[in-house]
Amino acid sequence: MSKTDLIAALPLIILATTGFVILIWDAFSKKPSRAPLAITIIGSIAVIAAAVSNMSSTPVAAFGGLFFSNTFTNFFTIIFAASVILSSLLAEKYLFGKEIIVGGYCALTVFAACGMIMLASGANLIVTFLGLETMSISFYVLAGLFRTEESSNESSLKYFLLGAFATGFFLYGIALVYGCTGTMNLSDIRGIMLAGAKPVASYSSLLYLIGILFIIVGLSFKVAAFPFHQWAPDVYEGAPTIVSGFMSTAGKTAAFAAFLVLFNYALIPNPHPQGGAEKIQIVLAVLAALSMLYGNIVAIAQTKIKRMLAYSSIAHAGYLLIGIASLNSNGITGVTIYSAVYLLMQIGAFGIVGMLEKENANALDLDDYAGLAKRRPWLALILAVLMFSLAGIPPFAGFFGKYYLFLAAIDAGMVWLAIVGVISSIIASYFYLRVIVLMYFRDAKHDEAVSEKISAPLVAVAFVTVALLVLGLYPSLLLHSIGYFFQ
Amino acid sequence: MGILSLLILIPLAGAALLHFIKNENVAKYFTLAVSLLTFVISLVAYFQFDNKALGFQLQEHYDWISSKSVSISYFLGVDGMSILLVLLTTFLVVIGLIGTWNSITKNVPGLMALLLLLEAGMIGVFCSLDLFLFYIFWELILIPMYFIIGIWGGERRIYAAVKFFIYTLAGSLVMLVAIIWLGVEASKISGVFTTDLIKLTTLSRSLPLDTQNYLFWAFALSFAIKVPLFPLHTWLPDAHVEAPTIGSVILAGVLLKMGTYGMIRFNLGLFPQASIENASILCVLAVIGIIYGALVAIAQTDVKKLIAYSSVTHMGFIVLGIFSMTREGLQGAVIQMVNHGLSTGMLFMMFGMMYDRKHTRAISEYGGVAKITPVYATFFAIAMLSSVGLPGLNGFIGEYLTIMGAFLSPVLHSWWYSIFSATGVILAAVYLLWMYQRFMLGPITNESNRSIKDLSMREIVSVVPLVIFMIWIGIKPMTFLKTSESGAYTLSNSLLGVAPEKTNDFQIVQPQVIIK
Repeated sequence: MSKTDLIAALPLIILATTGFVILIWDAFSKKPSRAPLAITIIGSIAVIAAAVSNMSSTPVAAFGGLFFSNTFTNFFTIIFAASVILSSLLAEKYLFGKEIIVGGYCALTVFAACGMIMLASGANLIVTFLGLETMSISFYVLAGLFRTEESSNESSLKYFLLGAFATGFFLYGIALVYGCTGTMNLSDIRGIMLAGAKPVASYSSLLYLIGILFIIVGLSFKVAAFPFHQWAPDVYEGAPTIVSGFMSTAGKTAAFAAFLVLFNYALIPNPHPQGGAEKIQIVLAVLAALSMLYGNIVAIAQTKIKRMLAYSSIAHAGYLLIGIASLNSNGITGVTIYSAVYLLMQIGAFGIVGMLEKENANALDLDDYAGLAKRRPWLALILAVLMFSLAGIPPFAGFFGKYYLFLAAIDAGMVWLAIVGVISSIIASYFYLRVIVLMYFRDAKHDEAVSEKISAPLVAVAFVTVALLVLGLYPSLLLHSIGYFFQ
Repeated sequence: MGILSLLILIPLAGAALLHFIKNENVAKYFTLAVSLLTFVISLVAYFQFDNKALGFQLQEHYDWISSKSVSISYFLGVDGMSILLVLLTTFLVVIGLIGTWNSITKNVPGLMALLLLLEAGMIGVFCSLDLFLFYIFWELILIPMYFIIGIWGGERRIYAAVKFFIYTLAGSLVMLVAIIWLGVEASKISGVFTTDLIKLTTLSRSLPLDTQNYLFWAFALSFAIKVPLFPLHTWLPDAHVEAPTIGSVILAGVLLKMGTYGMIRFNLGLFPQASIENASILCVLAVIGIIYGALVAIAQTDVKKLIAYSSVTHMGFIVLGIFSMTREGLQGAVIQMVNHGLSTGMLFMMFGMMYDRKHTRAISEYGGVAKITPVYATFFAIAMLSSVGLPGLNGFIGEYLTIMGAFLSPVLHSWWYSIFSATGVILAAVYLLWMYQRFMLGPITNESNRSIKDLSMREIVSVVPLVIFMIWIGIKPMTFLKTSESGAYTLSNSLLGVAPEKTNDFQIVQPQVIIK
């Protein structure tokens, strides 16, 4: 273990330490306080600082090729830490309204984020797997955070049972890939694939293809892509709202980071000289198309806002899968931008749902949003921006992310996939608009305007909105920090 | 910063500042000041514009999103066709604002902010020379218009707003795919993904013909929805009927022109070969729209719906002129865009004034109104006659030139287009004159109408400039045709394979000369 190794892993080390500090604090504190939230935020800021400084240093594979530290991994580390900060800010009011152990919540989100960093930075299939499990187990517990509520318990158990099943697939896939290539190290796998020396590790080898397929199944479950999505609506609806926001954004982003590393870097190196990756490409493309259509069509029929957001998150997994299926550099850029943007949009939307749920006694029906523009003009404006951005309307950042994903698909010669994406976007605009229709065009049940007080959740959602506008108008901010990852 | 950026930024800044203005009257006067300023600046731009020069003028170019493989820029510029539409936009916003000064009572600052946002978007659409930028402005317009219809509209406003939004979004997303596809195909030739219109104009011609055809139709679909071209027009009557007066004026006056402008700039400009191949299909649809719109308009009992269907007819003439691809047709199309903006905008505005007094749109509720409000009846008659296409007023010039363009067109090969479209002019006289008769003339059938007040000074001030321009274009169209001449001629020449002429050689074709 050298100094470079430690520096490369510094963000992860800081974050894990933060988690333990919270646990210890929680064990000794008598009554619920906001201190764990503060510790989480401070820790995450330190993580961002460490990751930013790592971003510009030379890329390394630390710990004897177990852990990458480069622009890509540090970019995602920043995203994960930022999502931890956002969900802590959003949790501030939410947690004190409901009887949840604040320390437990903070520690679990931090540990989940540790898993995400490992997932994105793993340079070895085992590390990737460890990351996936660390993240998932934290999520299982987080989903059941409302111990006394049946729906929360159901959500947790359902997630756990199906999640364990998917993990099995993922692990089996790893085993098959190991069997074919004889190594777990991603760089070595890349080398083998690029050289094309081993006949058993090629796109014509059935064993290798099945291995990749199982990995796809495992990850598709984590990102809730059709047809591995069944758990998502129930889990997101049953889980505490802020937890749903965190799971459906940061968790998904982490799985997509793993998707990018595994698929574009190691298993199907890009550019792929021997060709023959079309079989895998078509599987991914079909998954993408079905997820977009299914998620958006079913979302139209929802009457509860959390379920609507859950189905829309299935569709967004589909959009992101376009970028994976493209298997080209535009796809990498597209997935990176869109997952960052999606994280902001979705966490903001769930955050607002959480704020209103807390204030108006479980107002989770879409109809509860009628006339919101009169009661809470600022919140309604923010939610409207989020909805427009989710629908992909310029000038908000959601549009730019989608633009890059469609660009990737067309660049890869899959115009049809871009057209399916467009069609599902049109379908999606209907239910995103419905929220705006309710807020702005319908009259409220009770009309009195509430003056907005500055609170931590409000700061978080306002920040998200401004960020979406700025990134939409000046996407070069993101593009420059991404650069080109795998070259 | 160039003058075109200023034209976009001033309304945008105005919209942002309106957020801090709570007082209704202050908000109105502020918006009027901002829109007047924008109008004055657009006039300055017009006088800076050189009618004789070829190509795009007043250009501004900044890199916006650039990386190794992608180059997207903030690129503005105008030619004669777009500067006229920019003027129309800034002019109609001012006029519409004065004309509907007292119509809105609910959340005035909000409406004013959306109006200015809309203005910025429309100017942006007409000035963008980068497809990506164009798309952003194109979509930006959806949001304010959606809210204007949805919040301040009539009874079925939500249905109309959502229909408008989704219909238009569907078209524009198809265009988005086409923009990306075009960029990717062009990058295979040039090596860099770009959405620069001028670069793409040369690159797109060397694409495979099949691809050109697909791209042509993707763009055409999007624009045809906006125009709207038969059979994609069904959103228009709903949107018009439900929108508040100012919304209808802007929608009919400017928004629809974005579709026809897009056809000229992108369909003809980027895919000349595909345009020649597919011109007859679009022209057939245009002619069907002319006749169909007119026939449906005859049957209407709702004044706003009638004017909405008359828009379908008039926009059909513009599409016919565009895809005749002749100088006359293109010139006619451009002047007809301005005409339609003036006359239909005025019809909507004038009916809005009556609606504010009576609160009904049914023709049967009126009758003999001319006896009660003679001034109103006179101005309404002028707008109506301009829309009918009475010689001496503007509508005649546009319809005449487009029909002649279709007649002379080397791509359409048939004079049936002209014959059928000319029946549209006759039918226009039927539905508009009959509407005027039932609305204004005859005995006063509804006694409660006797208390209707005639136009106020403010309302007269708002319609007089429109009338001035209608007569101006009707008598001396060359003032305006000269501006769009170089753009229209260059385009037509390049389409029909004629070598580009030098500016000095332009023959200024007076309509009177052609009659011989």
